[in-house]
Amino acid sequence: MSDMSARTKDLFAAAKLDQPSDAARDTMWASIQLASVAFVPNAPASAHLAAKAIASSKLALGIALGASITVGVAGAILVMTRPSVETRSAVTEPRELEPAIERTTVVRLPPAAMVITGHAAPAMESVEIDAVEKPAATAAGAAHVLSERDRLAQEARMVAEARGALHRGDPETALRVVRAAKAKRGARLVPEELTVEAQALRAMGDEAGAARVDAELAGKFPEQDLGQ
Amino acid sequence: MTAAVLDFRLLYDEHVAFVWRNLRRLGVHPADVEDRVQEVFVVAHRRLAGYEERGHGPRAWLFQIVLRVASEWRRHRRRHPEDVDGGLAQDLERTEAEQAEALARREALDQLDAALAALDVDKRAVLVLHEIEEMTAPEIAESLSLPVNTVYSRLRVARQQLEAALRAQDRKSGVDHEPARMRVIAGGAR
Repeated sequence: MSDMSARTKDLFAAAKLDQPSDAARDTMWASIQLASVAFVPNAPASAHLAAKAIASSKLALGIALGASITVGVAGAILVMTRPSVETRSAVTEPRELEPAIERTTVVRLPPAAMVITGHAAPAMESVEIDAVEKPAATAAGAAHVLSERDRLAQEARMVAEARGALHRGDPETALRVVRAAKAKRGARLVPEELTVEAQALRAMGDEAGAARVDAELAGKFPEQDLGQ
Repeated sequence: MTAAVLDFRLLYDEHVAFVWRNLRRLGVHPADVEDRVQEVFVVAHRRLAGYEERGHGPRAWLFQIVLRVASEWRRHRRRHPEDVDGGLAQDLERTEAEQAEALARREALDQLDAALAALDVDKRAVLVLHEIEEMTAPEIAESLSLPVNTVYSRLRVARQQLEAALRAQDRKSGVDHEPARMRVIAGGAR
């Protein structure tokens, strides 16, 4: 270390503190759970149970809120947790890092997942995700396909989570989660996210902030009526 | 510790920051780092049964996956150099949300990453594992499948090259970085 300048040492010290936010950790973990179960049909039973638990909790939340989006997401997760015959037969050999994933699992979000609180999906004609079951050359390639495929499901899950937090009387969490969802690149549920954001701000007593978000919603999506 | 008793959630909680940091230091763009972290842990989950503890914990094993994923990302980036908006929208939102101190640290990390980018990946990996992750030379040797002496020699050259890259940055920008300011950046919370 003696041949490094003080500045370089300080840069390294700053780098040691670099880490993902709590929201990013939670989001990534949810995706990893789904991906791991979908890719490894013979994964430990605990993994399947965890994924099913997510689905069950989402389902319960959906009933409580009457939010059909949650039911749709739960349905999608259940589809993903059910290994296909093809994928089961594909995982019989010990794996190497390089050849990675042999097959990806078909994931198709049902149209119901895209019906948000009884209203038609906003400005998203092709919201159903098509993913063809096909061999993937590398782990990177396969996981990339998965992340593309999962992006919308993940975003929908975050909106559902934010709605749940609102319902539980935790607008701070709702706001944090929904803003994280909205900040994701290629966010497709922005009208719903703005609606929840305004509701959360209002619940926190920030009427001015809520009004700004309402105005943004009306300006960007004048055709939307999300039952505020 | 064996794969059978290795709790995957615990592995994630304890090492997600390690994976995140090293993907960033190996050049993965901030807009893509979450996806790549996910990819690392998906691969790790699939290979969990093959994991063997060799006295250094799972970091060496995870870093091998990190290296591979970062390498894949760089190849992808070369084939597809920019997104439609270059991630600009996301950067703007992030910038608006950050406080001044966090912004200063982000600038410092950007400087570090730019300087690290001047090093080849072999030397960069040794440097970040030693200086940021505080891994010992034997740990690094195991992570990268290298003789320990090679780790030392790469470390020495990497430090020299990094210093040179930072000096070149300063000359280019005409900025004189005061050590006192940098210490404030390094000491603050993000």
